[in-house]
Amino acid sequence: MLPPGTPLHNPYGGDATVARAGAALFTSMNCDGCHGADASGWVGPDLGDGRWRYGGSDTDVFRSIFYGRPKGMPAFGGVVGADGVWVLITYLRSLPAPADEPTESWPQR
Amino acid sequence: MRAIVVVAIVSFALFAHRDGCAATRQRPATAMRVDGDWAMPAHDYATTRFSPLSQINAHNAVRLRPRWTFSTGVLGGHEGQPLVVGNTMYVVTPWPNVLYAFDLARAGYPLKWKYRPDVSATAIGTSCCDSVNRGAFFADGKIIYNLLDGHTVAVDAATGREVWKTKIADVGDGETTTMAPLVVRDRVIVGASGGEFGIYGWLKALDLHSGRIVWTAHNLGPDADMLVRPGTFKPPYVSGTELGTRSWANSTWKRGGAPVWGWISYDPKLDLIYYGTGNAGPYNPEERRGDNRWTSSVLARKPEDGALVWAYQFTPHDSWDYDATGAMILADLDIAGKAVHALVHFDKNGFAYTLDRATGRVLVAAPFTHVNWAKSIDLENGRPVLNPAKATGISKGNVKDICPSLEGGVSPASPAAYSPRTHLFYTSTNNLCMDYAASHVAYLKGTPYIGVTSPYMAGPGGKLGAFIAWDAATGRMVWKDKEPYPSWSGALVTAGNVVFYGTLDGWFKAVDARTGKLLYRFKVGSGVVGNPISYVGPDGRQYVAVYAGIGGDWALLAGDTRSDDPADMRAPADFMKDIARHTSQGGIVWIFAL
Ligand code: HEC
Repeated sequence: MLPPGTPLHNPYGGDATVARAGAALFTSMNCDGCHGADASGWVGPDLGDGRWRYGGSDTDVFRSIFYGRPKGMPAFGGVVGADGVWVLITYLRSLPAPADEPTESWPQR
Repeated sequence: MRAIVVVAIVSFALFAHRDGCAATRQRPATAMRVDGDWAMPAHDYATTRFSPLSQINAHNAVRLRPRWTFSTGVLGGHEGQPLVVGNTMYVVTPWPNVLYAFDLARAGYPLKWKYRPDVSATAIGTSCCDSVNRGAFFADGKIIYNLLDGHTVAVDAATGREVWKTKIADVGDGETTTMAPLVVRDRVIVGASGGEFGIYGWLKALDLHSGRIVWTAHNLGPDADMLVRPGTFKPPYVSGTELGTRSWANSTWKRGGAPVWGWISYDPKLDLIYYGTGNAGPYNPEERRGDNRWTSSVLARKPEDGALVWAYQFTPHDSWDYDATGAMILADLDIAGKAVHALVHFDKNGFAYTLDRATGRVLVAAPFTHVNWAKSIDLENGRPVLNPAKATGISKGNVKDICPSLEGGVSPASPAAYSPRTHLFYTSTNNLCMDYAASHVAYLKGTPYIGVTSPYMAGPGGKLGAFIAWDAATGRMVWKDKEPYPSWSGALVTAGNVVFYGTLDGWFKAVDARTGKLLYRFKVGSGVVGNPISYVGPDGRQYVAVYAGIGGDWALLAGDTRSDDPADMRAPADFMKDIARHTSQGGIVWIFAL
């Protein structure tokens, strides 16, 4: 048990092979059913837009997946274990850098 | 004349169980003008959404004006409809399912009370398609409705105090509760959503006075679970026992779906309730070979004990997510000179069906929108004549251009209306097609059990929706008003021959029931996915009320209409790029009058 507040670090950060395994896990754990096929958002929020409801640090995202979040995010810690959560995070981090465009515009027609 | 018969049935339902509460004490005033009420989701047991009121008509509708608005404080798909009983309007919001009671007898319609149930947020993630609610039912001085997290509540209509609360569904198993209950005598009939979560679908009856569960009837599975009793169950086209297990390979019925998230109707003469079931799960049909009864079906049951009397499957072996949860409208029609007690249903699969409601036999079936998964419905055996090129499954790969899309030729959330004046049905429709690539999915309790990638595209002509008038005796379209976006609101038709509906881009419209000609429109602040109602106010005038609040599937598909969450940025839907130019989320009750 880590003391509360200790930041967590992803042991696989940046590993492309692990990211591919994470993509497969994202589908086999049915994350895609709630977050969309490419994690682009469905019932659950977009996980690739670079913006986070509960914070985007490794620690925050780990907690979201391991323990769940109140508005309908199930806890997956018991299913995939801490290692599986890191594999999933490695996949999420590998998603194409978000085009964070705050403006949506409609040209005059 | 039929209008009057309908009204008599309604008033019986409302006052059959008086118990001396304050709502009942208001009865004298209510009774005098009971035909001005809207006390159940679809106005009457036949679920016609026909209002016998005629002050507003095709000549004066141009003078309609908004008279009052109220923000529900909730941003989410405002499906369903308000109720009006006597001098009170009742409004249920999407999650967190607040119930408001407005005093229509006072200026500005102040609240009499509001009821804020303790409803779990976990259910939000388990709702396939936004945390919607399809409305309440008034009976026995109580407002009865479902909370998203699997509970039914009864609230004293006069005081707002909770009378009972019953757990009917299990969110942990993927069940949520979005449908509007129906009350028949002392039975409260309810069902659950979860066709995307591998549920074992059912219908339940609760006791009106205590909330106790009286019977549970599954829509699939063993005869004993389905309340199939020897000698009682007579489906029109099939025979034999254990149809609900034998039509599923390898016991796949256990996670087969068949949710109940639409509307229930009731025929007092036959003493039968009618309701539709949703899709089969998972979406890859090769993982559940067989007809998969009774998914995508209409079932007729006895309200007293739940006994199944007949069932008919619109889409055997559903391979396209064609839920049949849309309304089953009961109407007495003249079909080729013969008086028929009919049941009329507009299905997601794109066909409109006219059935004999005593037997379940199909009398008329014709497409009301562009359809290519089947060529026609064979009236001899009741089965669709399939187009083999549109069969789906993992072995078929990515099957292109299937019409309608899995949003449906019409959404079951958008119920049709029937006018005994014009003898026509009025309904929203969608003009969307899809590609369908099925994939394997493992069952993981409480997570989606789907397994498909299914992008949408516009159907022929490019307009994404239409509002139509339909002759169910002949299976013909009478008129069609095209809409740029999918049409997702319910319909209301009145004795004044005016039809009301709302659009996804936020117009509320009144059109001529005979011609479809636009009479009046007003921009209501958010897309309309709810159902208009009409009632008589305490001042004796006719009013029309409707919710504005885009959502339901559009909360997911058109995520760029959302502005409530800076941490969730969505790209526009590629088949509908500019809807966010015309609307964003809302939660507004509107009231219109001349
Ligand atoms: C049953 C639907 C569902 C499933 C399955 C699901 N999620 Fe979620 N997820 C949600 C919802 C809803 C939220 C938002 C919760 C909230 O706001 O409280 C969420 C939130 C999250 C967050 C936090 C996002 C943020 O902006 O802070 C992460 C990370 C996440 N999910 C990852 C996953 C992963 C990885 C999986 C699969 C292992 C998964 N989810 C499976 C519904 C789901």
